[in-house]
Amino acid sequence: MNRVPRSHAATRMAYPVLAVLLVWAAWELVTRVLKVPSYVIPSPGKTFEALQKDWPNLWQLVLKTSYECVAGFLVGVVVGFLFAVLMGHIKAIQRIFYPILIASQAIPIVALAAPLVIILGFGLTPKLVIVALIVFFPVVVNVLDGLTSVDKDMVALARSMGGNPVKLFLLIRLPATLTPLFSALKLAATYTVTGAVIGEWTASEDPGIGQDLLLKNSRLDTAGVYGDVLLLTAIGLSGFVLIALLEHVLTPWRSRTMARRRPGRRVAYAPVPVVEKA
Amino acid sequence: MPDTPKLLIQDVTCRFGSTLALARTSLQVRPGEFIAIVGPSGCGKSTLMNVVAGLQRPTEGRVLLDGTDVTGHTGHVGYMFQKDLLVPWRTVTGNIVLGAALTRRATRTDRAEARELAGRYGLGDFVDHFPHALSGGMRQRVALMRTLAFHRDILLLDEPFGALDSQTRFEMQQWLLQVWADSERTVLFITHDVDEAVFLADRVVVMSARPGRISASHQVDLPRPRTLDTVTSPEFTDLKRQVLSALYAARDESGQEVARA
Ligand SMILES: Nc1ncnc2c1ncn2[C@@H]1O[C@H](COP(=O)(O)OP(=O)(O)OP(=O)(O)O)[C@@H](O)[C@H]1O
Ligand SMILES: [Mg+2]
Repeated sequence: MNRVPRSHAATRMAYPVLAVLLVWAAWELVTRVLKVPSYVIPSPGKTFEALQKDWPNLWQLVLKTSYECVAGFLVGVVVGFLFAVLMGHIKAIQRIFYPILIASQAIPIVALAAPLVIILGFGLTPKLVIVALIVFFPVVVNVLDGLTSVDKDMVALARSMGGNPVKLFLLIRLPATLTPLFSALKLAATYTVTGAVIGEWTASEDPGIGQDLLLKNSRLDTAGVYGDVLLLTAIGLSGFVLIALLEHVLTPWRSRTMARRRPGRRVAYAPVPVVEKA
Repeated sequence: MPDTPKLLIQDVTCRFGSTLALARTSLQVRPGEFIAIVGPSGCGKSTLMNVVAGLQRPTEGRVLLDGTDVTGHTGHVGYMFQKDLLVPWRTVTGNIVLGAALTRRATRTDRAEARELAGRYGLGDFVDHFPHALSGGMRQRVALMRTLAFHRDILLLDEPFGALDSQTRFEMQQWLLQVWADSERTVLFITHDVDEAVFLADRVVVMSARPGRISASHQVDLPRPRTLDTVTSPEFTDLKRQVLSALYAARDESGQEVARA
């Protein structure tokens, strides 16, 4: 009763597949029916051909860009989370930094990229920082929101049981941030790719897919550019899916009726007949 | 005095800024006694509970538990709030052992006890469920089990059945009396419902508003166990009338309008 029936799972899987097929069909249609020249919009076939041909070179670039995304993401999440906890517990810090934080969002990251490269060099560091900056904001805002919206009475109840501040944080406040945190992380995961590409366009050392895209664009290799866009999309999408899976595992109370009981934990009691039904 | 009272509330007053939420209040509770507290909304019932639970420091006065001063100290009583306040990310078992988890660590024994408790009181099939999958009555029962599993001699129950329909409510009242008889705890039970107060309690304490204070106290000597027959007995009706008139008298005194004459 607590698990999604297999047929349901299959239907759910069918929708994303259908979506991909739809996009594919539209793409084919545009290139074939409208006879758009392939240097303007290459057909799916041409794009995949280009991907296949360049793959020996591309896979390393994919790894590079993925690494920038993952590392920057982790830095942004950890720093953002700690900062939110600090703001949630010390009101003065929140009052001072929250307006600064909001104002900082008005600065376009693209504009920030150039000065960052001057400060941090052309290597990996500025890319990580740009990705981290993009991730930082939604994490701070959502975690702070989670921390401040915890039911005050629930905290009072825990306090009445003699829970110390550390226990209160671990058992009540922290779990309450998970739901908003994951909403932020899913958004952030897709933003990271944008951050990495901006970073690669400004800091040219140690190139990834972003640099490669720029290069192919200058050579008018449109099929190659489309291939790179597909790869970047795939990176962002994988991040999203990974986070969504993690969310499913770490917040079981949101999707399930009951917790999975660890094996060997059955207790013997005669189940009392139950009148009410969930 | 022959025995030390289980709980002694001594000259407690509580002030929030300029409002006097609780005027000088004293109450003495015997071990195992079931006390119901009735009074108009805003008369300071929850405030009094918070003081006893140690969540709210009184402006004056003190709270003694078995003769020991516990004023402003938490962790001495089992407290059930007006809302069930089940923790959404904990299962029924996890919620019942919350007290243990907060004060030390919930052990295997705690969990086994929680399941046993859930099983005994009709929730055996739901021990691994999350609260969102439970009905209102079930949630309320889990909240009460959590309060019981905290193993304190005193239970503070703040309108625990206020949100339930009358049928579920009557079931829950009988269940509570059964639990109380099983566990020999001392109970302070807040309610708006005079029927409920008289049906459950050994003593009904009436509070009045502005400023909040205890204005009357009625001993209820109806025989136990109490059943449907209790509710229809002339003694019950008589007591109910006394408490009601005390409630209305309290309202008149405090300058409030009487809702119904
Ligand atoms: N933390 C607080 N700060 C300021 N005023 C408060 C606070 N807590 C309670 N009060 C005030 O104290 C008075 C008593 O409140 P309390 O919650 O104890 O009433 P109550 O008898 O439990 O009411 P109800 O039956 O509606 O639950 C009210 O006037 C309320 O506004
Ligand atoms: Mg109240």
